[in-house]
Parts: sequence; C-alpha cells; structure tokens
Amino acid sequence: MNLPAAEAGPLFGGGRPSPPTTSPSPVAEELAVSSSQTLAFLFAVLPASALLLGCGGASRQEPPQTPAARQEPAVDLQVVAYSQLEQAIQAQRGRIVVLDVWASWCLPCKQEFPHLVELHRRYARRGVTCLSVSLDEPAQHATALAFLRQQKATFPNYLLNESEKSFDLLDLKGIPAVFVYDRRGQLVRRFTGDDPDHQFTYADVERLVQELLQKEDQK
Amino acid sequence: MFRIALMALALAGWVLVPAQAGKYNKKLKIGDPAPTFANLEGVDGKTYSLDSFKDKEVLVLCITCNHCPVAQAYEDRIIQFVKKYASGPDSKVAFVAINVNNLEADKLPKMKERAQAKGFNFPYLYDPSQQIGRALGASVTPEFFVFNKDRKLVYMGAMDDSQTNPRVNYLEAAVEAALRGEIPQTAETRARGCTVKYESASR
Repeated sequence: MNLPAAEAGPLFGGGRPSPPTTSPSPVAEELAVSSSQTLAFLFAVLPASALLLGCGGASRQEPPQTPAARQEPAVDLQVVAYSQLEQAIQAQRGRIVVLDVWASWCLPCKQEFPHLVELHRRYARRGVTCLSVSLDEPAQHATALAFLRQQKATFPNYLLNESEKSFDLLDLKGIPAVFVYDRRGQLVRRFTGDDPDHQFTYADVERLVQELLQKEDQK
Repeated sequence: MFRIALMALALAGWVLVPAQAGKYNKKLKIGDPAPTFANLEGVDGKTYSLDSFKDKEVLVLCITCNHCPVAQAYEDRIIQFVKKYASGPDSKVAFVAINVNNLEADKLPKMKERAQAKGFNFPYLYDPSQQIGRALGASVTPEFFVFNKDRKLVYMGAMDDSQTNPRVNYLEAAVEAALRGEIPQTAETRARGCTVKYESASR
C-alpha cells in the first residue's frame, strides 16, 4: 500500500522500510531499571567479575565455577569500530542475524531489550544469532555492561567506539533500531523509528525471523 | 519494479507518501509550508496555535521532551539561542518547543517541573495527540525546524554538529539566513536523539 523511497542502508546495502503495523506500540510508563536496582546489581556483580578477571590471565582455562556461574554463561561487552561490527555480522553467515541498536541512556531501548533476549532464548538453536550494539560512549562501558548482565544478554554484545558518527554510520536518527540479516549476511530489513507512521515492535521482528526461517525450511 | 509501483500510485491519484521527502525526514522537504497546530497547552497555562507567532519573521519549532538525555543536553544551548534571537517582544524570531511523548516522565506536569527547574525562556507546549510531531515528520528529540516569513520550511535537523563538541551551529546559521530572506547553505542535517514514542502506526 505504502511505498516510501528505498533507503540507502548502511551495513550492506539498501534496506527496505519497515512494514506498517496495525497494533499500537506499547507505551511504557516507567523506567526499566531504577538506579538503586542498578547499584545493587553492580555490587553483586563487580566482585564476581573481578574474580573472573583475576583467574583468566593468558590461559584458556575455565575459571573455577560457582554454581551460579555454571548456570549463567558470561555476559560480555566488546568495544569495537564500525568495521569490526560489520565483520562480526558477516562472521555469522549461515545464520539469521538480529542486531539490536541501543544505549543505556535510551529508555525505550531498555524496555525493548528483554524481547531481544527472549528471541535469543527461543531461536538461537534454530539458527538465529542475536547481537546487540550499544551507542554509549566507551566511558559508559560499565553502565552498559551492568544492564546487559542484568538482562542476561549472553549473546555477543558490542559497543561502537565511533561516538556520534555512529548515527551516520548506521544511517539512523534515533534508537532503538533493529536490523535483520539473512543467512547470506544480506541486510533484509531495518526496523527504525525514523518514520512517525511506520513504527515497529519486536512482534514485527519476530514475524520476519519466522518468515526467514520458513523460507530456509522450504529449501 | 519500485518505479512501476510508484507510477501506479501516482496514476491512482492518491499518494500516501510525499513523492519527495527530505533526506532524513519522511514527511517534509525544504520549502514545505508549516503544518498547523492549535490549542496546545503550554507550561505557562496558556494555549498556543501556529497563528500565535504570526508577528514574528522566523519561527523555530523544536520537537523535544523531558526524559531524553540528548534533549536534556541541548536545554542550555536552547536557552542561549533564545536569549540571543527570540527573547523580548521586539525579537524577530519565535522559538517554540513541543513535546509529543506520552510517557509519564514527559507529560505536562513533569514538563512544568522541568521548565521551572531549568528556567525555560520559551513556550514549551504539549501535544498528547502527537499530530504536530507526525506532521513535521519529527522522529527524534530534539529535532529542529525553521520556517521563514512565509512559513515555508528553510531548515530541519539538528541544532549543531555535535552533542559533545559542537563546532557548527546549523540552527543559528539557518535563522540568520531566514532573516535575510534566504535558504541556509545547510538546509537539512541528521537530527540525533531519542526516538519519539509514537503510539499508533499509519493512520
């Protein structure tokens, strides 16, 4: 019905505009994490991570695991340049990739983030890789990582060290945004908030992921 | 394929999307008339319309909000801009900030608190219908729109080139140009910020 001009998309070629949705976007009323929760969380996590760092060293040996550590794989946040992010996506060829663009200062991003974690939980075994990229400044690394740990984001997480250039590089005005790539590493769709009349929810993302999975199954 | 579809739409006589929007804006392009708004309540308790500012040569609309850290980072810069260009009855420029977010942290009572705490020297209006934001094609906060004497769009986008280390103030350059009756050299830039939380999809 509605055919906006094709966007010149970053991260591998043109993106298609996000589809119109009929369901209203959820309007969140409150902040995702209270600062006291964050603090409490930091205190809980910091000693554990210090321990892990201390034991890691150059060896590949697994650190001694507490029962809690065994249950939950480590959550990591790697600071990368844009080109490294591109490589990380291409390294997933053969799998469908869902890339969530967020920042710790972005409340809607944090409200949407659990949906990415849920997507990972439900689709990782079916060939879908979830990735996140934070547009926080590298100085905010600890804050961003604390949120990712709280969310149990056990998939690869990146933080772009491109500062404000990130918006240009990703061709975005605002976040949250979600990019979906097919098994050949081709950008299939960019879900963004850049058009007031074409907002997205994670239900739209999941629908697309299911479509892509079905396509592969038919082959 | 795409062209054929577009032609079909044009032939059908109803084109939902403007044939040519801006580079970063899905609704407006430079030269478009200012979308109207009416009866929007401000933090000062008064209501405002587009016509409220008809005596001013240049009108700057800024879609912004309370909660967004990027919007907050620009509050002092906006206050400075207003001091320089848009304060006093004799100023030739009007600056109007409008919030269209319906998050609790952004609604009118919180807007009033914020305006008072920061000493806003400009009207800060609330549009819970979100219509003015949509009509402007504003997708992030803060996002700036400059209209000339004829209320034609001469600039849209960011205030300046960097949140952390600004070197070029596009907004000032645009207002100066509009006051001279010209289109600014840079008429459109990429606004950066928090996505506006629009509540429903296409209408």
